[in-house]
Amino acid sequence: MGGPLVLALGADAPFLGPQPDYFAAEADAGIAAVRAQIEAMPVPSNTYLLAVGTGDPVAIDGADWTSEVLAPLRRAFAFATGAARKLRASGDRGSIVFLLPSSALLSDGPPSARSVLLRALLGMAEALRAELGSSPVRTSIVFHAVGEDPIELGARLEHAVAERPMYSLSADLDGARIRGYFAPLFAAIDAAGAGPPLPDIGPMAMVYDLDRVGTRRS
Amino acid sequence: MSHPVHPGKTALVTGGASGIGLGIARVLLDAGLHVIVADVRADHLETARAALAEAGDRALFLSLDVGNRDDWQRARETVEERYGRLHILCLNAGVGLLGSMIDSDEADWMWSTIVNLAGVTNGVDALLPHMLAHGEPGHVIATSSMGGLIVANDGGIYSSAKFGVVALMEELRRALAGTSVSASVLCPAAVNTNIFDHVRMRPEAFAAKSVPDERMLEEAEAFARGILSHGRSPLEVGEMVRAAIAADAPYVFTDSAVRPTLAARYNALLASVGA
Repeated sequence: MGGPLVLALGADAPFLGPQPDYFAAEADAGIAAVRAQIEAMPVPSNTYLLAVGTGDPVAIDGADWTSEVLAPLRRAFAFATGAARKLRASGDRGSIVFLLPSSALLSDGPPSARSVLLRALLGMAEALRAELGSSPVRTSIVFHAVGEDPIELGARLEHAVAERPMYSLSADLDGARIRGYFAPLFAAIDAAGAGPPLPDIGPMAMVYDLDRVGTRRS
Repeated sequence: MSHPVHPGKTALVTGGASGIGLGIARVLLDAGLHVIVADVRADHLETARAALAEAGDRALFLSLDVGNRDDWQRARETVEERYGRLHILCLNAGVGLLGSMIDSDEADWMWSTIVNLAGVTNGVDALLPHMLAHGEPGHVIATSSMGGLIVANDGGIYSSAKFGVVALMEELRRALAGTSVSASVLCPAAVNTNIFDHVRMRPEAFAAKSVPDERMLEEAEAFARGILSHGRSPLEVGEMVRAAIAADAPYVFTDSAVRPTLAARYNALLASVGA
């Protein structure tokens, strides 16, 4: 079957061993050009992987937003949607995996422009899973922790490709940290009070339904 | 740290000539501040000039494309020459580009990302150093969206940018701790605005590869307006923003009815712990 086609973002993106094919394109290649390049590449495994490193903690006030955020975000968008277009057209089962640092979800290191890129990638990944919901293609988000054992990470990646859950959390993303992040959000929502009732626009946030996220508990 | 919502202080609101931005501008003017109403749309600026006429010379109307760094440089010069000091920066301009991210093209991506994300980073770059340098209490608030915390199946490009805006303001708030300036993020749900009339607002530089026919366009806009017309009024949201700045609240939401959708994501994450 072969390995995945991998786009590595950042010099410290997790090394996935010699098996994968690493995707390369001109740094300023347009979205259409990247998609065309992916379309032309055989990927028998039907697995595409964005491997993103933690990156340097570039301070907010010293950031070059174009190189730190906008350019890599566009590159990831072109790669992920290129893979999605190809897989959707084939009608085959396939996987698009975003391998993101755990700071994409919960940032507690020095405030950094990198966090903006990582969170935007997280939103992109979740939205792609939502859009592909009715297709045989799934997007999974595998978070990796600083210093995580490569063998354990490899096992979680294998599981993600096989079982295609929405999330695979690294050990540093525990319940207490998740609750700690969401608590002020819920408090602020509750403080807003209910707005006027809206017309029914159908089910919201279906991608997060527990019977769709693919955890072992669901 | 005391807050900057006081008569005589100065605010700048991007996307300030319509929708939520106009609501914020009006509330801050009513609170006695000087307000620079910045917007890319000349027609909206003219409408806002008429709507805010009673504020007299406390309202200044400024043409500003948030994606253009030269425009931001001119905005900074205007602030310094006219008012000396800026105290509140509302990075509100946004476009509600919906549709398939898989089928979207370069223009879709660039327009949404430049306005919704670079429009915020450009504003921070241009004016935060000024706000820190003068040392008086200041506040930066950016408008993200509920789409910055949860996704829908037709809002991928939008959510990608808005997730980034939430992260930016969270990081900025942490970075600014202990300084004279703070930061918050506004995550509106349904508000009675024109944000989804995006096809008609699309600039030539980001022209869509295919434009729906007039009938389809009118139907889509009418559907969006039909939903949003039931939402909060921009003035209500402006008041929420004023209160949040005064209280230095990190997050501002406009409707508690969205709690179940955020809870769905929260529960999905918790269910994945150790899985």
